[in-house]
Amino acid sequence: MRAGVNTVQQTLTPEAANILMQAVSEARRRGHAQATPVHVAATLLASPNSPLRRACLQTHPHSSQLPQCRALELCFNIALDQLQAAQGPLPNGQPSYSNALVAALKRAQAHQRRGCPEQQQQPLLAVKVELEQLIISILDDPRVSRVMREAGFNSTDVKSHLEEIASHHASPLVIPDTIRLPLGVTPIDQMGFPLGVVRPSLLGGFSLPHHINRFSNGAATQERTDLQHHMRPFRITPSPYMNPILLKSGSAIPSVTCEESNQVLEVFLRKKSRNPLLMGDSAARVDDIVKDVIQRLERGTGPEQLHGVKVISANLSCMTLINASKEDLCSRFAELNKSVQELICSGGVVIHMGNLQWLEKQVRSTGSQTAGFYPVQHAASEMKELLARHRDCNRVWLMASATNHTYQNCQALYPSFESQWDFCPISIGASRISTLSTARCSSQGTGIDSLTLSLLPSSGASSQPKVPSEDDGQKLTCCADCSKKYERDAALLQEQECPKNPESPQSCSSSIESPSKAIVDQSLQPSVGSQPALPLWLQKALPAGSSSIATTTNEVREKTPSFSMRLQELRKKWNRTCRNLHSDHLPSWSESIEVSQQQPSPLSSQVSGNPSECTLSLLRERSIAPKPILETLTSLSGHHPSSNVMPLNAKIPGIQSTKTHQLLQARAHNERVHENNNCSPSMLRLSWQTPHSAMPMMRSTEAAVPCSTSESVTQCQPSRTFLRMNPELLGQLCKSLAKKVSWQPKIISSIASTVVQCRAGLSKRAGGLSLRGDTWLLFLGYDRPGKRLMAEALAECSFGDNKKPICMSFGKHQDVSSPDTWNLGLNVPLRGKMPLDQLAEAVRHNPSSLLYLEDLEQADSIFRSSLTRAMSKGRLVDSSGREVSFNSVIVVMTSSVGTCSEVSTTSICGTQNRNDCSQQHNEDHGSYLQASHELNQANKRKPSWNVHGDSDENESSKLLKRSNCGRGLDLDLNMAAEDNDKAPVFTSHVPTQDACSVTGNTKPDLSDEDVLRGARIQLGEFCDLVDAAVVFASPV
Amino acid sequence: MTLHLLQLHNVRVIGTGNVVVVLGHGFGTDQSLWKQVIPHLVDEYRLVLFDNMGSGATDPDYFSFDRYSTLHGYAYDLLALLEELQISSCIYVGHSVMGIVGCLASIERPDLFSKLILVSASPRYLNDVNYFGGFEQEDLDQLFEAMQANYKAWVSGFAPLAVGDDMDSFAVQEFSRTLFSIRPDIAFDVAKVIFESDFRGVLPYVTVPCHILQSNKDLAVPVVVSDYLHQNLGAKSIVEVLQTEGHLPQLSSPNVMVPALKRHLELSI
Repeated sequence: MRAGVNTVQQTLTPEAANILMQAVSEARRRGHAQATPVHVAATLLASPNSPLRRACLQTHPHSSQLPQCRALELCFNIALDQLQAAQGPLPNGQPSYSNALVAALKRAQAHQRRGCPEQQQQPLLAVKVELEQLIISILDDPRVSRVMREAGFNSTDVKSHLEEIASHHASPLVIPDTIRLPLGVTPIDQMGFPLGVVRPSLLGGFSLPHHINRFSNGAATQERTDLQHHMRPFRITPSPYMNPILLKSGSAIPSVTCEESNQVLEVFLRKKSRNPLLMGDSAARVDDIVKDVIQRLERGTGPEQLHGVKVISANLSCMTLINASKEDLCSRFAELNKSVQELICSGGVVIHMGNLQWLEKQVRSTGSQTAGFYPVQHAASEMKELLARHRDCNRVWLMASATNHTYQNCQALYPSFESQWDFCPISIGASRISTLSTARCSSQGTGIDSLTLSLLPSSGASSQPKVPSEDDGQKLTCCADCSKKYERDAALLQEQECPKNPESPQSCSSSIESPSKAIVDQSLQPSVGSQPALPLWLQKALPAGSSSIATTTNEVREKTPSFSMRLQELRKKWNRTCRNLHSDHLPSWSESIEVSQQQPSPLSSQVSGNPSECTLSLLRERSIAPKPILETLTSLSGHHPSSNVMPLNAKIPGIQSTKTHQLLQARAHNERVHENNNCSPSMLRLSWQTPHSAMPMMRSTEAAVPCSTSESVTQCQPSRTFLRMNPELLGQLCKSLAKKVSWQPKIISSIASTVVQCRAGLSKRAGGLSLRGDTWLLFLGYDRPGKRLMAEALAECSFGDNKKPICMSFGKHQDVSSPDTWNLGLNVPLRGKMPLDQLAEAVRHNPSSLLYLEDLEQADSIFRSSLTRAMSKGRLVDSSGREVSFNSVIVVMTSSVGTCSEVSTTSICGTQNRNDCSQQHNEDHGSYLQASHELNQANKRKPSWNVHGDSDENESSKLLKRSNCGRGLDLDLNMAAEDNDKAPVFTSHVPTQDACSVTGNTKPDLSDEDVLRGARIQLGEFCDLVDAAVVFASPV
Repeated sequence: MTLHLLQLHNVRVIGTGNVVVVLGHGFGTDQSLWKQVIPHLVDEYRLVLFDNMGSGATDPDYFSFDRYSTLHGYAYDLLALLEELQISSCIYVGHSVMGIVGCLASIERPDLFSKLILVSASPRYLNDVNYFGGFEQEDLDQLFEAMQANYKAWVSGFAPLAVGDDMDSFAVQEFSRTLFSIRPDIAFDVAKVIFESDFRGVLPYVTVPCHILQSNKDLAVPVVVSDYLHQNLGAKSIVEVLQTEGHLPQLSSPNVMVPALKRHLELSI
């Protein structure tokens, strides 16, 4: 199976072979026994000019490219690190190709053969795989796509992007040096500086040697016209460094637009459905294309048959129509008719109708129209007539644009408008944008958080957003083949009905079902045997009596749907299957709807046995969800109600349905529906069926779930869900917190709920649902012991009894009054280590722990900004650029800023106190960061002025200054500055921690808001970024 | 698109030499910063001048707060420009923040740069343990506060300080003009990004030879910083401390700056 290195090499073009060689040597360098697709992908990404990297950047939905690119590299690095090193020496000293890689190479070869018809007859070996084919097939590798997904990239997107390029240009990697500009853009920049001169002189000097003679003498002006042809090298891909804003709003038309406007122009040339209807939700894109098309028509740069064709605007919009009287409209159309007739003689006319929004919008408000005149209908029929009148001469076209949503509504309202107006829908911004935005529109209708959508990856293209209607399962609409199969299944069903044993898995008979069953079982396993699947930190908090799983499950299962219902389901299933398999234009999302409906159901039928009632309520919500849309639309039009289900379907591409599912559950949770036992038959029906069409998607769902660092997501998801749904957990946590810190009752619930939420991946910081479980709390106020105890309690509840928090204190001294279990060691950094690195190190060793960062306001700003970044990213980057995941960390930061209004220096204590602390600390070998043993040395290293300073009460200004800027700066430069000392600086709004902790009790009470406000001034965005900032009341 | 990018950055290419010199201006200025230097270089070098996005001469609509939330955004702009102009090798002269940006760009694409000349550059403006950047956090807070409170007033106060000259002097007038032409919110954002940046960590990764030019007295960048750069840059480097005052020697003392710059353009280490 493992091909020798040399044989494989022969099938590749030199550049592809080169990449492969690099990948192999990378594998050797890392000591891996096999070179996998991941190696190849990493190699492909490594070079800054690689097409893969470019494609990745271009397909990434977000604009900021840099971090994404870094993340991608990092993810691949991690993936490579995780691969097992070879045991023993490598055979031949060379890593072999892994099966996956060989498969990828074979795929590439097959694609290559298919790609070039002239090569099809050649022997296999003669086909050389080009680099782009290699990339495409590498992207197909599940492992690679998983790694990419981790970094936030969608490999299918990247792949389709590459394919798109490949199909448009024979060789996208070679940039043709000169191409004539299609449009005569005058190359003068704003400053009047002729760029046409500028560029070629550079071109001449650097990359196009044959120009050098012409331009190097500087007498380029006379050759301006000639230069224009050379001035813009036709770039297929813009520079990856380019500001994405420019790409989006660029006035010049990117090549993709050209492609699409070509497509539009081609439609004009057709015999039937020759009026292009541009569909896309990115208005700017659509506008660009429309503009381009118009420009090309008017300049006559389009196809020859279209020369002389003029474009006029029909000037129809909501605004112009809403108040139009009948006379108005009539005269307007008469005018239009006249000009059309004139223009036909001169070659033809395209009537640009603009956005079809008016068509949809107005009808909705028809009720409010008076006197029975419907301007929209009138306009529509006028338009139709106009078109019909000139249909024979073939010189009148329509052009219109619509968002997907508008298009669907129009279809619902005027089912035949497409054929009547001879429209040919062209979807713009194909795959990604359209589906996504369709989903957005519809989700508003159903009230599902628009959050869902941000999670959705782009799914396959849905160029034909037409849904085959009437699928209510009332009758069988499928073809003969499928009908036969249906009958067979129906017979089987009948058999099952007799033994009345619906819940045994075998009885669900149809052979297709078993694999899906397996998947379901697998995903269920953790929740059924709920105890072991729980994350460690929560097992403890689980209520003891969570046992009634089996009983409830049975209860639910006993309510099986009636036979007729199941038959109906079966009919539905086969209708659907037939549609999917045997209709030509198969809309890709029609599969995903199946998944979105079915996928949660098997889960819920069993999970519902758990104390988490809400799963069922989720199911209910799901089953209700399609209704509102249906009803509204039915009441609106009465036409093809089911065609409108489409947006809902599209909303949940199967690949991500797990997440959607999770989110919906979260929603269900919010609504707190508690009715699990009296479920309606419809729900059960849902949970019973697992049609096979859902299967491939389910499998892909599973495969596509990114593997989180520590635990398999498929496993942790149900458990997480379970946790989130479980109010008892919250109670438990509250109770144990209250036991420890009884004097702070007000804040406990908010702390506990924040922790539970964040640990479940629902932190608002991460922008909703995520796989991250990091929690960031900010404790404000005076109560230093209270904060510590709270943190300790949190650590125990979250990570187990013996887990102590990892502490770092940035304050000047140790508070003697702290409980003896709590000795915060670090107020002097490890020698040569910045606090940031210490923290990163600590988390690296204890990936799930509670970090207690005391007196944060005194930390230096690098540290703080790093923390800020970690908050948003979930990873901390240490000073050497290495990242450490904070995914299962609770970070408690404390600060007492904003609580004091004046400063006292009385409490700055000497060094022996610290030494005591550090000794105690050293005895305690918990998970404390063992750092303070360095303390003594560190003190010795301090310049003597420091010691003096401590004893010298008079130099309060110096101390004040030092405590403000974090630890005293051991910097000679600064010392000099202070020696020359000036007048004492007195900053009233910058209190020191020391002052607060000691004098806090005597301070006048400030309201929580005051404290928060003060903290916000001092800590800036910190207060807003954390999951929760709680103010500890001063202990009475 | 090509036209677009070059237009947006107001790119100008002048001069007749074979060696390309790219001149990057720092915060608060635009390409006019170099106007006293240009006449002395046009005969020997091909100069590429451009405005940073967000500077007064560019369209503020194209300023992306997201992209420019780190200096990498500027570095990528620089690289995009170089790619667009198809420059395969150049000497890059960066003033102040654009010096560091040049370093970042050179880390990304070392092949594009033959030499970096950093004028008044600083990897970090804030003081830190064992590092003297010249600013305390409070100073910066005050600065930001002042910027937000009254931008015009801040400009008229900041310009003389930064240039190190009288309000009436040409350099100060010039600097305040360019500084004031920046949209205040952008200026604030950019200043925040710059002053809070810390690129000490990346210095070791710079592989292109660096020439560091530094004013003897500079409010924004203490002389020790140039030494820090020299010590920490991963590539060969050389420091020349100019007997000038102020952060913008090319404006305030062209008579000192120009010969030094020419020297460093000419000679290599």
